[in-house]
Amino acid sequence: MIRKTCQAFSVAAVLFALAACGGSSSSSGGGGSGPGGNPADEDLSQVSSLSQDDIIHFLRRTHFGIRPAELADVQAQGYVNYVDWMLSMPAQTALESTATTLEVPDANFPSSTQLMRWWLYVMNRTTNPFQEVLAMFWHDHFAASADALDGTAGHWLHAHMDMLRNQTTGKFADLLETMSRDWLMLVWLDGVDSTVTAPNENFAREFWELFSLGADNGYTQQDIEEAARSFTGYRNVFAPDLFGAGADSRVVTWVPARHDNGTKTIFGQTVTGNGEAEYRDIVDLTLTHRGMNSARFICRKLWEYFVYRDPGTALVDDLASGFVASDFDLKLLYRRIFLSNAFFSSRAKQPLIKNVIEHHVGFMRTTGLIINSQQIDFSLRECAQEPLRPPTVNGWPKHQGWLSAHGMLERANFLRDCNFNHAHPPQAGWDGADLLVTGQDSDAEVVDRLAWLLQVTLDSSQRQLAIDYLNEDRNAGGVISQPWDPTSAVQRDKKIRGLLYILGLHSTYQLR
Amino acid sequence: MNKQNINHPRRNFMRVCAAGAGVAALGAIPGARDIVKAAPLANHKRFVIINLIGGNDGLNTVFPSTGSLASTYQTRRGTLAFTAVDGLALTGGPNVPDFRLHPVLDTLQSVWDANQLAIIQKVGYPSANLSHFVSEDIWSTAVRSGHVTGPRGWIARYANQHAATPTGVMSFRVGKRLDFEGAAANPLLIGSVEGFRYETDTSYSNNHILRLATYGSMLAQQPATGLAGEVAAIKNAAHNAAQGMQQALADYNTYAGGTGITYPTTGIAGNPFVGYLGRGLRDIAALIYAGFDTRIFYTALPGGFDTHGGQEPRHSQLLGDLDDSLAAFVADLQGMGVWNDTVIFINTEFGRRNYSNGSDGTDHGHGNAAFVLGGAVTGGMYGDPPTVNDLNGEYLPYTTDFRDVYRHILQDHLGHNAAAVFPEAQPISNSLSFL
Repeated sequence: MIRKTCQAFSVAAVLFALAACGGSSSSSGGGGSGPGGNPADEDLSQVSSLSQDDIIHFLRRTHFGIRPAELADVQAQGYVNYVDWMLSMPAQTALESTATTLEVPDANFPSSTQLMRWWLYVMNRTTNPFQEVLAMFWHDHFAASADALDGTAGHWLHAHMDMLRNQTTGKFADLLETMSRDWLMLVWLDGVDSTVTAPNENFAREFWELFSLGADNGYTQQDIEEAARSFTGYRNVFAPDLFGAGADSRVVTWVPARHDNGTKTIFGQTVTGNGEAEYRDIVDLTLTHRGMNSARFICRKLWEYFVYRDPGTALVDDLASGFVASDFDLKLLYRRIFLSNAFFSSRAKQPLIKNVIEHHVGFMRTTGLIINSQQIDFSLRECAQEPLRPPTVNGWPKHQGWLSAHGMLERANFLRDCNFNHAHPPQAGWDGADLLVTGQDSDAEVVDRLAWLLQVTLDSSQRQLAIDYLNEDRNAGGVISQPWDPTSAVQRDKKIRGLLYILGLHSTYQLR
Repeated sequence: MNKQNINHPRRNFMRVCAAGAGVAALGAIPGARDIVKAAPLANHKRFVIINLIGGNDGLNTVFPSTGSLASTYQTRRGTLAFTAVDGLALTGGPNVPDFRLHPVLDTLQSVWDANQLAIIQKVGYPSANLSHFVSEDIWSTAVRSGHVTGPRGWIARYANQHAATPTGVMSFRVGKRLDFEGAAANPLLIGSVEGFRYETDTSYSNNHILRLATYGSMLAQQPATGLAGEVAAIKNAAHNAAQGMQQALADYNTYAGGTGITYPTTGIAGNPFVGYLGRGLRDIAALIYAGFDTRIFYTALPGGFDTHGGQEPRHSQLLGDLDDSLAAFVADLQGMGVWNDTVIFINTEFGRRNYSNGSDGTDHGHGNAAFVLGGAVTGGMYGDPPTVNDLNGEYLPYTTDFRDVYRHILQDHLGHNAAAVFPEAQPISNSLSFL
């Protein structure tokens, strides 16, 4: 009943509708904060006015860092309008088409490497970076790897990537169902080998543990064994001449005889055999009988990624209640998070660690120093975050899990690669002056501007070291004095690249 | 790519100081010889852990080969089962005629024959958890119930007490495992030794030296607290070790050119993880050769052991790679004269189901065989071997707690008190005595 009422609201009013559906006292500020929590940190009511620093905070969490044009765009449109635009996932048709032309020679048989380059091309240039940030969030959540496929099934991977990029703003049930029947997922977690005579538990276990509920959160080993019977019936088959001209491939097909159409008992409920539709039945069963468990799990994970870690129970319950009441509408959930006062609270502004994609794409988008596609493969592999190849179904490291000595060195080497790469070799096609404000090009102004662009925090002596760097160079004999001359193209190229490297290596550049 | 280009940090340091910027010596890049010695440390006990990620099928790694135990195993496993003629006998050293090794494990067999391989049966922990990730966390924290104050990772707890330097405990090719979480000295977690360096900018190679020196000077002043401080400490550890790592590798490569030992390092079609372990073990050998004071080296063979479907030939390929990598590593350690000071423990998060699932694979199980080898190890079969009754169940139970294996190695090999490392006492019936 409550759900119906909420759905009747227009999109514009939905934020308030959700707050009403949530019904918890914490959204009005005060009562719901956890032990020692500051009420403002848990205030889910809608923000009214935002400072420039607030917008920068938003961009750092959702847009791979900041670019002056994006900052200006948010301010011009107004924050709420911008969030709505961003969540509408406007088509990027021309960009995607260019990326395909450049990076994917045969769309029927793309390699995982080509698709990764394609994705990085789009990430670096899209007008809606949030689409890619969100896709990476869900890629990490539903982590499936190209390693499960052979070269004849590359188009499956393309479909999987499209799903991550385009189908994560609808209803969570639809996403879960689509993911459960995704061909890559069916191979990755052995669904295509799971049959009525020998059900395979792999998918059923991860479906709850990693995708919908969280470990040991409302299901038993018996439930897993029963659900494994429901998740049977698909088969990975050879598809000769699928694309004509003798281009053989593979497809996943439904084979009724492989499906266990008997009755199962899950969560104490009877599940009758329902063929292929049983995949959806298990999704619905989960969200019906373990709805709050699932909503808390998803809300907490989103909150920890975008806002802050270890949110209080009251806040999570409030978000989760709204999520359930909206029939698990993901777009409304994102909207509620990004428009909340809590998103801009002091706790939310405590830093988080950048993952590799955020670090790399952020540097490239902010500086315009875009590495060429062959080199990005190498760096992403060395830095241990290759899109389309997560290490396990549990995804990539999280938070401080990224902080290793070697990881920090590899991130430094990526910045070096951006400074010296084929797309933008020194003194060709890139001018550091483009990053500066016209007329503000003294040594100190350059340092301050670039530090701001990268959102690096320098104390006064660090700032002085950076200024000194601009006024020196080095030859075979050692360091020489060379006063900063912004009119020199050679100096601009060498020293602005150098300064971006130095600032990018600053510890605070690892934070978002 | 050329380390020579960043090899003159002292001069930069002099310059920065002369410029009056008030920069401490930390700004310089430590020299290559600061941590690299001329030879392996003598009488230095080391512990190498090899983790088989995904849940190795221990029952097919060391399988029952005689009597009703063998026939029960064959019934349960169907086409995945080995028979006695397939396997390698365990009778050359200690005499255990009822079990055989997987046919590709000829190196492990030779170590067994030398009485230096301990096979520990039914290793696990209380209350089986069939989730990879929960089980890995249990292995990493070594905590099964309740809450332990202090660092979450057991290696971190060990390091803080007994090896509190960046090189005291190290990992290779596994990223930042939970085992290391909470180690105060920021242990060096390495991808590869070769890659552990700053690459230079060949367009502006001289300027790049200046960049690194400026960065080093800034790093010395970066915050000591908060998340930025945490980042800075790790960056400092990397900065301080980068030159030494390259020197260690160069020294080792010169030495290894004369040993004739080759580590398997290339993958094979359809199994990209083959060759991965060889690279990790070679790096460990290089740092042992360079005289690193490391107590625990952690590496892994990732990715392929979760054999729910199509277990063969994948499992045999991975075990073959494990065995080939061990062949090189053991010979290398012996050649360096450190085999008697080194204990190697091969483990995995859990075993697999006793029966095959019909996808020609096996689902998650629990109790599992683990392997310990080294010059100081007394070979033999330890723990309780599987029984017919065990095999007729879903999966093997555990009778030896993995923490007792760790505790035994820490106390009787490394010579360190392990009580605070494994605060949860696990009274069990099998006392281990392979050291």
